[in-house]
Amino acid sequence: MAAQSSIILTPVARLGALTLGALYHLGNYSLLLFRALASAFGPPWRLRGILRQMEAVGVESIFVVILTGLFTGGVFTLQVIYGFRLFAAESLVGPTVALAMCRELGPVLTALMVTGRVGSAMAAELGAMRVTEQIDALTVMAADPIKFLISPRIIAGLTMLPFLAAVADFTGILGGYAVAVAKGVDPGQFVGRIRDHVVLADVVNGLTKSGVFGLILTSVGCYMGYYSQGGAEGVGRAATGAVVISYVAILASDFLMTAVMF
Amino acid sequence: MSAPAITVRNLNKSFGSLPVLKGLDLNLAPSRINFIIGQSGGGKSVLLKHLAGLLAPDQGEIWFDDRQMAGAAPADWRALRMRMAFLFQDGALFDSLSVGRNVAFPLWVQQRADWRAAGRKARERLEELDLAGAWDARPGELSAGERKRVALARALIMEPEILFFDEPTTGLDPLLSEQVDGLIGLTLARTRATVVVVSHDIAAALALADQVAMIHSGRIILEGSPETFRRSGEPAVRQFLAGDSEGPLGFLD
Repeated sequence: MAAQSSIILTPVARLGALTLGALYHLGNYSLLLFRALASAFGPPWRLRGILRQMEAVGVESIFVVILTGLFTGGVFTLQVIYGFRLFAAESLVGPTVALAMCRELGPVLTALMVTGRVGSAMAAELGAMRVTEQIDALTVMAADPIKFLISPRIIAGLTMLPFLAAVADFTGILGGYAVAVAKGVDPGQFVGRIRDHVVLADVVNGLTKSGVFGLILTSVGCYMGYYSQGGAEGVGRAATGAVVISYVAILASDFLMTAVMF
Repeated sequence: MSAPAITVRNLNKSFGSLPVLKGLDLNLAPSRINFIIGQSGGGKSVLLKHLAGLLAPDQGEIWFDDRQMAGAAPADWRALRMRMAFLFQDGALFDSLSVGRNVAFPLWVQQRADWRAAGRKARERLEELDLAGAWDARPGELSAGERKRVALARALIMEPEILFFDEPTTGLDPLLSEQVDGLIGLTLARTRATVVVVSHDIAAALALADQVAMIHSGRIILEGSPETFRRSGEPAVRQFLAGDSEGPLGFLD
């Protein structure tokens, strides 16, 4: 009897525990995000801290984002030319590449690259600060660790990701242009048709999405690091967890926002 | 305001299903050096973190003079922490700041002093501890003893009324330990703070302390002057003093 009931009940209990755990983290995460944003707007101003994080998130990611844009635009154009040749629509390669880059590939791939570069580093850094009691030290000095450590990072993500996505959009179209011209597409047509078919909203909506992605990848990285437990192993778990959770959250929110916006 | 007396009543704390503090009562004398001794893993650091508000008790009261702080509002804790400093076991210096900025940090953050003014005072503190040369160094470049002294300089810059030390001499060689012990005595002489030291260094406790309390399986089993401890017939106390492996203190109490 006991064995039978446990076969039925164990999965149910597991599911319950999993749901409760997820709800707990979602609530805790929301609180942290709210406190980080609320405490950012008030003295003492942390302008230097914000600028330093903007440099780490934005300036230091430019090179990798340029490469991402160039290669993505290039390979996407190769595939599109192959497909469009089947029904002689090569003149539409330009706007197809531009729309894909601005609406989707630029923002999302930038966010994924920056998550790998910055989100995991934030989780590891805050996790190490937790393990070495630096976060406790801030608290005991009557300094709010959320304001000092987390707010500047989230603001940096929110503001810098749209710039990076714009860089990816541009270099993506550039890479596409180079490939298209090498494959015999008329350069004038490539550019002219982009001007005919791409409107400002395509670009702006894409950049708006990337701002949300910036918020997600920094806040998830900070959350995982800030609440990491269990020494060096916990820091490692926080860093990988930050990447996986950010990826899923970015892709899911991308779908939702795209469904609403476009 | 002057250094407060700290009183703990019926403090309980469990982590998951593991009880660490089990109805602990403790009195800490104002403007004195109070040592809390006990085995590693016996709940000493957990107790100290409760006193600083870094952990919240499951049950119990923590009084600073006539203010009950267990479960108090964050703003009340912030006000109390302006009078408090905490020396963490490994220093907990900020890796991202230079030594000078680490020491100046509490002044900068609590009084909104500009870095230059805070820096002048920080330099004085570092010079007293013979660390002026380390001004521009990063914490990672320092030895364990230097880190401890920098952390002490940082703890003292606000002239706190309450000073917590978490295992100040663990991991230091005997010479450095003696040096740090000497600094604890000096600190009290200058600040008249309520000093609370958590340690398993029984010799230092008996030499330096005005008051000693021994923690064992989540409770205080003896508190009193060093003399009380030397004379105590309590088996656990005797065993701890003698450093004996035979007796009521086990590995996994």
